[in-house]
Amino acid sequence: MRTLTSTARGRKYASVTAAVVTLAITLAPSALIVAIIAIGALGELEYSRVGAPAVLMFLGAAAAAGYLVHSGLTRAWAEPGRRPADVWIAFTAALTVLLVGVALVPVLIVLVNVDSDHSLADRAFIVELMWLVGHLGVGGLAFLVARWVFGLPRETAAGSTPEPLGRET
Amino acid sequence: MPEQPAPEWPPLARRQKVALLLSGGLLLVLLLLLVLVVYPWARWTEDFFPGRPPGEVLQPEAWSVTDDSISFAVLGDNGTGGRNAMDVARQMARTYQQTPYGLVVMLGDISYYGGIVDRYEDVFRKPLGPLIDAGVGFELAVGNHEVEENPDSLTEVADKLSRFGLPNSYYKVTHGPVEFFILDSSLPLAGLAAAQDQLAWLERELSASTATWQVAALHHQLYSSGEKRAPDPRVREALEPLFIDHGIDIVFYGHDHFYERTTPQSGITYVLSGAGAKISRVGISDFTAVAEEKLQFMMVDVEGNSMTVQAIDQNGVVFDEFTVSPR
Repeated sequence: MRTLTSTARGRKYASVTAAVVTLAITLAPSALIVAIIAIGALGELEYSRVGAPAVLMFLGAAAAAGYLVHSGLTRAWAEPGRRPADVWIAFTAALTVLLVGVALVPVLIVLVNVDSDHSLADRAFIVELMWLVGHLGVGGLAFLVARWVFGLPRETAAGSTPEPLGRET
Repeated sequence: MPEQPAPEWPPLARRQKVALLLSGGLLLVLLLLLVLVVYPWARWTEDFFPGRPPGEVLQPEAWSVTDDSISFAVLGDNGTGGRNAMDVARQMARTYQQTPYGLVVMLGDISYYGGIVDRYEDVFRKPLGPLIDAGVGFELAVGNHEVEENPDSLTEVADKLSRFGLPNSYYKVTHGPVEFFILDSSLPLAGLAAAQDQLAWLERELSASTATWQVAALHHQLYSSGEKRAPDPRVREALEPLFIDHGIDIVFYGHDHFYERTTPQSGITYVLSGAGAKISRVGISDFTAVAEEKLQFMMVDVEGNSMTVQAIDQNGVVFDEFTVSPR
């Protein structure tokens, strides 16, 4: 039975698609917050003061996340004795952690820093620092979850049969 | 080439099942959190969502003020520049189309999330543009609640006075048959020497007043059933005796973000009209006549010895109406 990941080309398309999905998920909540800030809903946070560095951070982090997913999936599919589901389940778990994290980090930042009497611009450094630390933490957690779900890399001796993950139960 | 048989895969490992279950659960929790907590907070408690400024074109100076009649609006805590603020302002413009009025009394907190110098366009010009263009005048009760802790607030008060061309943070102004005593309710809280000056001034002006109607407007609440915070007793202790002794007819204030009207307290009706953009929780107290968690503003029509006061929500529904007679 041929599946999407049976061929090298299929795996390439799948990993690129997964990377793009990861990139979008990483980018979307923060981009939404920046858009809301840019139109003045959270005060006169000038786009030039916080927006440009923030957008660069968003893009950089999202690109890094996308690349990590792409390379991680490519390596995972290359491991012997892994069924496609093993890879996808690990990816799904990590993506969920990432999605929840990147959605809640901006909310948490606004919740902690919003002040009726002051603009968020007054706390630009704290906002950016929280964003950076929060996203690095979420990314790291997502990676650990993926590793945990996927299991340790399997070394197989030539000619031996790799042990499927399911036997651990 | 014959197709190879599909490998026989064992069942999913426990950790994989746990991961799938937790993923679904996490997504569900996220969804519930966003829908039940984050959205209501951003939409109603803080008014973060952007809104479309009202586009109504109003006939300029269509109102009439005589020696014994006037209509005016009262608006509190509307300074977000967000969707709710726009909705309330739009309804104020529509109300003007039906009942023109030439005055809006603002009860403070006209600029959230930044100073008035930076946010003037977003929080004042855009939402209230139709009324401004129609020539409607504005009186402003300042009263930044952070004066105690934040020295910048004094600068902000000065900026607001300058922007609105007001003589002082407290002043008296007469419109038709009504004398308005616009008070700075921060002063009793800030412990400044000016607090005593204001009280002495108020007593002097109230004693000398011969107008049919005396209306007080300030930011901080004297009576409130808000679940978030209790009124600071210093404001009531400082002002209420003067109101009672010198015949104030009605008192408007904001600060809390809901609507609450008291039953007459020593003959005075107190109206909390602070839901010009945000909404917070309100309970019921023994002094409560009506309490509503609704975006709103007030319309006041004075005709001779009768004052009709309406609380109007952002859809134009009058959800409270009462009359007041001069004391």
